[in-house]
Amino acid sequence: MSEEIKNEVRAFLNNSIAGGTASIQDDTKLISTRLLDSILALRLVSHLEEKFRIEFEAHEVNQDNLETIDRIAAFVESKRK
Amino acid sequence: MESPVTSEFSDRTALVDAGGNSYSYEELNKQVSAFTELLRNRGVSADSRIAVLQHKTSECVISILTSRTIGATYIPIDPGSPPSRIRAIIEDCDPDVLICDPDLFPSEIPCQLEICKSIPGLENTAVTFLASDHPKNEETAYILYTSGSTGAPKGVCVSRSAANAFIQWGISTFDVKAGDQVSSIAPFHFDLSVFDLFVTLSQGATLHLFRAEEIQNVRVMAEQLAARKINVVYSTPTFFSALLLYGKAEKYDWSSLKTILFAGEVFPVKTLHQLMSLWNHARFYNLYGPTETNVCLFSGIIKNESRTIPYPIGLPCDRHEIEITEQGELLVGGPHVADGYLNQPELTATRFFSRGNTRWFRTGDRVERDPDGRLIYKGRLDRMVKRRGYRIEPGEIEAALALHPVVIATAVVPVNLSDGTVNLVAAISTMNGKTIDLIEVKSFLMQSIPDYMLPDAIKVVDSFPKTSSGKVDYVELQKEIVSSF
Repeated sequence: MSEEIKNEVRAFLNNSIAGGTASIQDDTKLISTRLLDSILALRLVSHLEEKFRIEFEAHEVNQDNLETIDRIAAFVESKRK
Repeated sequence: MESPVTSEFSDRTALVDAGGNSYSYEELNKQVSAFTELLRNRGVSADSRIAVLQHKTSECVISILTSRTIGATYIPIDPGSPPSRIRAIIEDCDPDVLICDPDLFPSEIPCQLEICKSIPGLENTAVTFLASDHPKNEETAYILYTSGSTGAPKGVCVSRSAANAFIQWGISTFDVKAGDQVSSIAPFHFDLSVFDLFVTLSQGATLHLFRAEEIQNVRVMAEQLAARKINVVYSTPTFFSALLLYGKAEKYDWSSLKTILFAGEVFPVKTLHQLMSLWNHARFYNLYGPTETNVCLFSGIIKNESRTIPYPIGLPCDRHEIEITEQGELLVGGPHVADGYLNQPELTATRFFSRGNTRWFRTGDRVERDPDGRLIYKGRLDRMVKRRGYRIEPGEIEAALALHPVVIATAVVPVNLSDGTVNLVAAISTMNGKTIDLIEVKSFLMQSIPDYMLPDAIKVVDSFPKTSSGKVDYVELQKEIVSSF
């Protein structure tokens, strides 16, 4: 189940960032490295909301929940329950 | 020296900070008076330069208002800049005073919290007095630093008369009055903030302070702008578009919004029209002008559903004249125009000139007139780029990146995406074909340039296309990159 979410995030990163996604692991930091800037982060959130029919609260769009592929998957998972 | 804050309306709210704490005009004026007296007793005068390195809080507003009350020059420094850039700016502007938040102390400058301890509300503000050697009698209101093409940021010096002329224009053109709720979105080192601060606080309106970190989360921003019943918002098309596209703006009641001012980049028409439908009680204005002129042209937007090309930048502000050169470059002359760049007389001479008492600036923007005589923006003559509303000289990024140990040469070019946004791509040639990835590039660059200048993507190349004179052919490079992505 969470592998599906991770694949979706990886696909998003591949489509949105050119020339640098090969080395991204599940625990690679995305926000503090600015790999995902604020606009990309918001686009990713919108994409995941649509794909998995969940909703982030405004304050949940933050570094804690979006810092790594693992954390993103865990958050989306928790919203699906 | 006249206070920039009105002394009427003492009970009205002057400021509301991000946490929702509010400060009345009476409180604000008291603190500004106290800080003014303290600094004057220490020898700060209208000849002084006051560097302000603070997050966007009520304390920072007090620092700026105090500077203007004394008549000194204030120099707002981006608190999000890496320490090396902060140091470079302080060195360049040679301030007499540095007002600082404790978490932003530049390591080599001793900042003291004790000085302000006597002023309630300023207990967490540190002040340092520095030995400085700059010219006196400059009559500069503020210095704003912008991206520099050779690698070092450059300071735009705006005279008191230019600042006052712009503020008066803002007051008389837009109907901001006592009791209005105005948002402060732009950081204080961007010239949009001059409108936010001084138009609002001279008219008895309320200024809502939003910090840089908060503005990034447009969902919270949409919520807050609606909840606080904001009437006037001045920001970039990127910010407004993000509210609509990612901020779930359609959920909220926007009946309070009456004036939307946008500047800094082209507003894609489709998104602008969608926003005008959502915010249908508001009047929209396109404001144009580089930091060197603040706003010098503008136009009110009348929605035309059939329009597909961007709206005009419009017509000159009061008492401003324009000239369009043979190459199509826009020159602007008038009271809002700055004096020049700090410590850079040669560069100043290439971009600024005077005709009688009027100061003129060569904008570097290409324009054309539409059938109604309004100016349309057509692009740049040089390499300067606007990305997400921020002004960026690719040369500044290149200078920083060239310092990386495996980089031989680099060229940064803009790529226009289909949605109208701009991406910056750094083409890099490396030593011995060594690899480098985007994370590495961003992390290296974050040590010397602000986040908003980081490239979106990189492309490792063997060589760069050259023009017949042996220089990098940026146009060809851009084409190669676009076709490879």
